[in-house]
Formats: sequence, C-alpha cells, structure tokens
Amino acid sequence: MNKDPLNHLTITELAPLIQSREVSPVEVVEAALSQAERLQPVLNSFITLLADDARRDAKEREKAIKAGEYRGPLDGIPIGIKDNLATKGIRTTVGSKVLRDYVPEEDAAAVTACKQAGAIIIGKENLHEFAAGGTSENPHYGAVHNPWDVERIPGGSSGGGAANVAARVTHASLGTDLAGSVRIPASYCGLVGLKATFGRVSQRGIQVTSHNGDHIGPMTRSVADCAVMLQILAGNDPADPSTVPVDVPDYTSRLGEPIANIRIGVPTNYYFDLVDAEVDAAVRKAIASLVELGAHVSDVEFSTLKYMELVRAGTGADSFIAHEQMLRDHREDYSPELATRLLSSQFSLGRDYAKALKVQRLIEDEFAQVLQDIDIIATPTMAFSPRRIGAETAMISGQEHPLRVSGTGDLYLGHNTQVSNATGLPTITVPCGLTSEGLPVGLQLIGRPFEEALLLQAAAQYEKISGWDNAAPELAN
Amino acid sequence: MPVTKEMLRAMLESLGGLDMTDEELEKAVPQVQIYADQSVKLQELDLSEVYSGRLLHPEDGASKS
Repeated sequence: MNKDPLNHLTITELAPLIQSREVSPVEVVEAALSQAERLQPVLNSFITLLADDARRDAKEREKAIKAGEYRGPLDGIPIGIKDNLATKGIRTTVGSKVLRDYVPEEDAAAVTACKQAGAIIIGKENLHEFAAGGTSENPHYGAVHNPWDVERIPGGSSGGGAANVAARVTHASLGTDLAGSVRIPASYCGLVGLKATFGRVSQRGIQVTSHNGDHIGPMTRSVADCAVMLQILAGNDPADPSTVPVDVPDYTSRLGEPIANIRIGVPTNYYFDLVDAEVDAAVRKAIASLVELGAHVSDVEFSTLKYMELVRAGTGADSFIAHEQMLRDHREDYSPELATRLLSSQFSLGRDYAKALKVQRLIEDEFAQVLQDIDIIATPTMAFSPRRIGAETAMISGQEHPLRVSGTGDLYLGHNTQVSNATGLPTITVPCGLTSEGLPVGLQLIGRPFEEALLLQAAAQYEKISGWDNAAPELAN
Repeated sequence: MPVTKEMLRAMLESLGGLDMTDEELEKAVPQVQIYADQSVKLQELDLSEVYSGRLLHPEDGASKS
C-alpha cells in the first residue's frame, strides 16, 4: 500500500487502490472519521457528522466491490456535503436557526449523483448563515476556521467543506456558488474549486436560493479530482429547467494534453482593483508560467464591469424574495446582520431591477465578444488574503482597509467571483502559491460556455508546474 | 440624491414592505445609497435596445477558430 495515510491521498490516487481491493472503503472512511473527530473541535467544519451512516455505507460498498460491483473513481470515497443541499432523512439547516430541525424528503440531484457513484457522505458541512456571505462566521453554529491559520476565516459560504478538504478530512466537498461561494473558500483554503457553466449541473435541491445564478460545484485537492467530480455532476436534469441538454464530454481525457497556443486574456481593469501586492505577484507569476507552457497572453478590458454593483443589487432583490416568507414568520431567528442586509433589498426599484437585468446582458455580451479571440481569462480569485475571524478590516499591501458597510456584511469578498455568476461562464480556481504569512492564493480561470474541459486542461497543466504539489496545512498531519 | 432613514421608512409605509426597526433602517441607508448611486451612474447608458435574460446557450461566445 502507498505509504501516505489514506486521508492524504487524492481521489485519483485512492481510487485504483479501492478498485484493486488493496484498500477497503471501510479503512478509508475510518481514516476520514478519525481526522474529522480530531479536527472538528478546531475547525468547526461540520454541522452534522454522519459517522454511523458513513460506516454503514462503507461496509455496503466494501461488500459490493468485493462482489465485482465497482462503480468508478468516486466509489468508496469520503466526501462532505454543504448543509444547504437537501439530504433525504438528514437534517439540512442551511446554516440557519430558522431551519435547524428541517429534514428533507428527497436528496438534491447532485447528492443523488454522488451516492450513485458510490461516494460515502461523512457529514453535512458548516457554512455562512443561509449561504448568504463569504466568511462562514456562522452566528448559530459557530465560525468555521481556516486550516492554514485557524484564527482566520476559510472564506464562504461553503467554508466547512473547504476546511475539510484542505485538512484531509474529506477528499471532496459539494458546495454551492451564487457569488463565489465555492471559489472563495477553495482559494482561501488552497484548493481547486469549480463553478461550471450555468445549466451544466442541476441545482435541484439547493435550499433557500434565488435560483438565479446559483450553482453546485466541487472543491477538491487536485484538478484531476475536480474533473472526476464534474463528470459525475454534469448533465441535463429534466426536473431542473435551468439545465441545458448539451452532451457531457470526458473531462479527464484531456488533462495531460499541452496547452501550447492557447490564448489567455488578462484584464486591465476591475479584477486587479485593490489587489494585495503579494496576491498580484503570485497571480502574475502563474500567468507567466502559462506562457512558459506555450500560451499566448494579451490584455483584455471589460468596460461594462463598472456597472457590476447594480447587478449585485438585483441579486440582493432576488435573495429577498427567497427569504420574504421566512422573514415575515421567523425574523427573530435571523442574525441582525443578515436580516438587515436582506431587508435593505426591498428598496430596490422595479426600474433598477429591470436595468440590472439589461446590464447583466451587456456584461454577458462583452465577455462573449472577448471570448471570440481569447480562450481563457486569467484573474486573481480573491483580491487579498483571508482576514481574521471577527475582524472588521483586512490588510491589503500592508495597509488596513475597512471591509464592511454599517454591519451589513463583508464587501469585496465576491468582487472577482460574482461576475461569473452574472455571465454564467465556467470558472475554476487553482492554487498558485502562498503569501509570506503562509496563506493560499488562487488563480481564477474563466472560459467559454460549456468548455469546462479546456479550463480543466489548462488548470491541470498549470498545476503540474506550479510547485503546489497537493500542499497541505500543518494541522492536517 | 442622499438616502435617508425617513425616506426608507416612508417607502415601507406607503408600499407595504416588511417592517424595519429604527436600527435596521439606519444600517440599511449606506447599502441603499450604493444602489442609488449606481442607478444614477446608469443614466449615462441607453439600455432601450438591450436584451434581458440570463440563460446561456452553447453557441454563446463560441470561438471563431
């Protein structure tokens, strides 16, 4: 057997061992549960740990695999599920007090897909309250801690899942992304995180969402693992009108192919606003590495992004509608911060909402135009390193910057990620180094609709030369 | 135009919005101000011929090459 502890292996390293029966899903799940029990008091990454269910499922998969019923690379692999994705018979709190006892009757489509692929669900993962923020400082279940520095936020809203994957508790996590909630924590925790094209993955079963720009996506330790997860998640869902009947390609077959002559655009505006100097340097070094691989780099500009704030206002109005009834009936169960933010959105004027939709179209059109001549757009995923839990400011290039407006939540966390929710374009984050404080930095790559395979290929080729080498925080050992 | 707490309270009362406390209204002002400022900025754009909508299709943004 490989000398590495089982929970340190990636999915693609572990799967052949399970397939060949060198390793049993029972052993793998025990390793995951042991790590979960050790680190839960430190990270607070789970809301509900499903140890008994996981052990039962692992025994079933062990028996089935022994009987020759191996289902593929996710078979017997421990994963986590964000607690805003419906799980049949298992409480799904959405990180809220309002739904603290809610038990869905059906699984989310993505959960079903993972179960059918043989994945073992270790637990339901902590998140920002109602998945409505980027810090995972949850007022009801406690803050999630970043495994690279437990005094810092892991990002959010899928913070628990990212913390678990980075800390070698789980091998992958299913998150959701309405403004960056997969990519923000993936970047802050040194992981690969993917938001596929809007319509590529069924969003059926996300609880309490506007359904306007929300996505389910994986967080993993490698690009190959991300491709494995997308292969399982992608596809048309007749019960989800947002999905699109586009063929699902083989996402893993091109990962090893060179990216010579690929055309990469680097924005000259918006995405590098207020970027920390160390983040800027790491991202530009990563882009230079892509050039070494044969990519052609040129500048691109997105003039329409100066109106992005109005799109955010539209998203806020959508969210208000998703919460309106619960705000009427259970206002006292909301944190004051979230209640105020949601209630503020009821002042959006119909005129401005209509304009926001048109601005969204302008932004989509500009990206489509740029992507006629460019294959991939490269940006920082996050502008600056994760701030300390409870802090009101972040250090950016050695200067302290306020991050909040009057207690209504962190500004700027979704600055670079939310654009892809407005455009629906597939976007991946891949680790591209550590700051001098040892905090991960992410490179964001944005591609054309339904061209996830190309994004994964570019990310995999970069990953190979990045020197990241599946780095883990010390706490994971 | 500066957004005020009184303005927001009047909107809630006349348009039947969800009630907000004084403290909540106070905190809402800066956020609504940001949106109001954006709205003013948008007056420079003629959006009358712009399509609305959000579903993407595979041919959107397809490469020429």
